[in-house]
Order: sequence, then structure tokens, then C-alpha cells
Amino acid sequence: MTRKHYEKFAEYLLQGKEDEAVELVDKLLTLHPRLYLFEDIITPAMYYIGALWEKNEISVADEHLATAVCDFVLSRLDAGVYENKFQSKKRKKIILLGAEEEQHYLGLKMVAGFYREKGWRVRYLGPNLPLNHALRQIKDWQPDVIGLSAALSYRLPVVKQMTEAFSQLSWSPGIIIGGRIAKKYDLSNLETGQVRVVKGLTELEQVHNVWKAGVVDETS
Amino acid sequence: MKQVDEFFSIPYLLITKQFEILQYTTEVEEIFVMHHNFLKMCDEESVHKVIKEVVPGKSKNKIEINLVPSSANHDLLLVDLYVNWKNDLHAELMIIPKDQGMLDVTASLGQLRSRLNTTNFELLEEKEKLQEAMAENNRLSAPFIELSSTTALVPLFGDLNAEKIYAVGDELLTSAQQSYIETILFDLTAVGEIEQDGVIAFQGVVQSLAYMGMEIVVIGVKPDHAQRINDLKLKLGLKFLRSLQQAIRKYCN
Repeated sequence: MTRKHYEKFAEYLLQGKEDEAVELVDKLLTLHPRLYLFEDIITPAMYYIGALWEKNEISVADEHLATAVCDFVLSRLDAGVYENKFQSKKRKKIILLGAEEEQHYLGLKMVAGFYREKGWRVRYLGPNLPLNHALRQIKDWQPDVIGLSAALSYRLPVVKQMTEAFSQLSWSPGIIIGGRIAKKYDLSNLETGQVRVVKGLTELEQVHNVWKAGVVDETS
Repeated sequence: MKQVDEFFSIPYLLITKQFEILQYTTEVEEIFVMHHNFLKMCDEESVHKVIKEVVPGKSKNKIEINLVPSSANHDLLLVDLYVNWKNDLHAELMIIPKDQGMLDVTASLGQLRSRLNTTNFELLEEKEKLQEAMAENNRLSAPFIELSSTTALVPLFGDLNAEKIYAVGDELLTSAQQSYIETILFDLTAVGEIEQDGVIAFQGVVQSLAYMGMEIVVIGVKPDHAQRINDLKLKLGLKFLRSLQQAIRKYCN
């Protein structure tokens, strides 16, 4: 069933049918949690679209259209999260950004939705963020956690450089590295007590639970 | 491999089945980083596609791939690759970089997206400020005033909704617990609209105070409030008085 769903969703994206895509998502949300939607529908659909390009069945232009429609669906999903449900004054803060030059951002956007639903305050800065710009925003806002995402192997040096810079921040925020890069390459050498490499939202959920139990509280 | 001139002025290559380059035109050299093997010129994400699509079985083919350009401006260059197998061993490749127009459109879409994101970001910041101001406003709209050692006055301000009651509820309960208050006067004189969820939340707070042994007196009820409160069908022995003056006379001597 799942396979059918994500292929159907991918089809809507490629055809630019945003209404149908939203309808499908809404229907699935009545049966499943948001995490399922991110992990088992949207992410596989986007990988499936990548595979179609590799099979020479679609062009990069088609991919761009699918990305834009998917972006729309995600934005609409976000709008459904009511932040004032969470009354606690001390809400945790996370800042999310893509490595410099990186153009892939849908995963980051899903992570933003993931944290918003958890009641965190989220600053989504988008992809392709130069380090000095990122640092300025981060120092201004002093988040508890910084999420860094990249997709292509060319970003490995930048990811390393950014991670090192973030590790030196005075209030020691938690640092999460994710995106396709974390799935495809072994980044475990970047991991420290402060830095975690996360291969997907399910794993993020686990890390989040561990941090909830201690690490983030100690550092904040 | 051999550099050839007797061809169109476009990037053209002659390769073997193993992707070894036998011939190439100057244009190839100008635009891309040269290698003996064509696969080495491809973006690593495109290598797999080339291996699967550039095969003698597909005698004529057109695929879209990313190549590594010689200029440092971009890390990748998207091109159309035309493949023509002369025989089972040799293939001609013609590389047509994607129309600059399309790349421009892609770039400006990216810019628009990041502008939207910035705007969204600024809106979010303003929204958070507003939310904080509203929360603060809510917290201040039910001060706990001790009139005597046993009586306190809580004048409520503005519209009564669940959000406001939640914001003041805890503090109200704490204040009530920390003093020797026996009677709390809720003054609704300055209350505008009473919303359905506000009544329900208010009921919760009143109930909690009653459990703590407080006598609750509601004053300043307007006609439309009366109907709302009646809907509650409270069985908590709430007392009602017309005015604050009456209440003070009764409870503060």
C-alpha cells in the first residue's frame, strides 16, 4: 500500500497537481502521524523522482516542478500546526540551515515541521547559507540546537567547516547533521558529544528523546 | 586519444564501450575538465546513469547528465548528451549544454524562494513578538488584589476566552493558596465578550478554587454574560452580587 501511495504522490508532483497532492496528504494524515507522512511518503517520493531521472524517464525541469509542488504541500502542512497550543514559556529553540551552495532544502523543511509539531521555536533559514551569515543569525538567537543539512558530496568540506565553527559557540548548542549526505556517506568522524549525525526523521526522533532526557537541558 | 578539427564546433567525443575517449573536439576541452575516461568527466551522481544508458543496446539515445565544468563558477553543468553507436565498440557523443535561459529561470526561482523565505521569517518574528505581547496582556488582565485579610478582588479585563483564563489560572490559584483568603470576588464589569471556551475554562478555575475552600462571588454580570453563565449550569454554589460596592460592604468590614 505504502509503495502505491508514494508513487501516486510523486506522480501528482511531477504533473504539477498540487490540489490532488494536498488531498492525498490530508487523507493520509487522518490515518497516520506526520512522521509517517514525511518518512514513508514524501521522502521516498522525492527519491523515486530522482530514480526516474536516472532512468532517463524525466528531466531536471520535471524535478524542479516536483520540488516546487512538494514545497507547497509542506508549507501548507506547516500552516496546520498551531503554535499557541504550547503555553510553556521556556520553549526550546532550533535553527535550521543548508550548507553553503547546497540547493536541496525539502528535507530541512520537513525537519522544521517536525520540530514545530513538538512545540519548539523554529528558525528555518533555508538552503545555501554562507557561514558568516549563518553565524550572525545563530549568535543573535542563541538556539538550543542547530540543524545542518546537505545532499551532495561536494559539500563535505563545508559541512565539516561549519560544524567546527558551530562547535566553538560559547553556549555549546547541540548540532545535528542530516540530509542525504548523512545517508550516503559515513560522517561518524564528525560526531562528538555535541554533534550528532542523523540519517532520517525516525532517528532524529530517537536522538530527540535522548536529548530530552538530559544533554540539551545541561547545555541550555 | 586524438584531437579532431573536422567536426562541428560543438563538444563532440568518440568513445569506446569502456568509455575511453578516442577523439574529442577543442570545445570539449574548453568547457569541461578533460580526462581519458568519460566517466571521470561526469558528476558522480550521473555516472550510474551514463553506465546504464550509454550502452550499445541503445543505439541512439539522448540523456540529461551533469558534467564537471572547467570554470570554477559552478560545480556542475547540466547538459543533454546525444549518443550514437557507430558499431558495438564505438560511440559518438555530442554534448549540448542546457539552454542558458532555463538555467536563468531556475536561478531566479531560487532567488524568489529565498525572498519568500526571508519574508516568512520576518513575519514569524513579528508573530512571535505579538504572541508574547498577547500572553503578557493576558497575564495582566486578572490581578489578584487583597481587600482585607480574608477577601480578595479579581477584576477581569477584556474578552473572556480560554487562552486568557489559562494564562491567569495558575497564578490565581497560587495567590489564593498563599494567602488566608476565604472569599474571592470576580468582577466582570470590565469584561467584553464571553466566549464559549472561556466559560468552560473559567468553570475549571472556579471549580479548583472551590475545592480549595474558597467562596466565589461574581459581580458586575451583564445581561449577555448572564445567559452565558447560565449555560454552565454550575452547581458550585456560586454567589452573585450586583456591584462591587455591595460586595465590599458585605465582605470587608
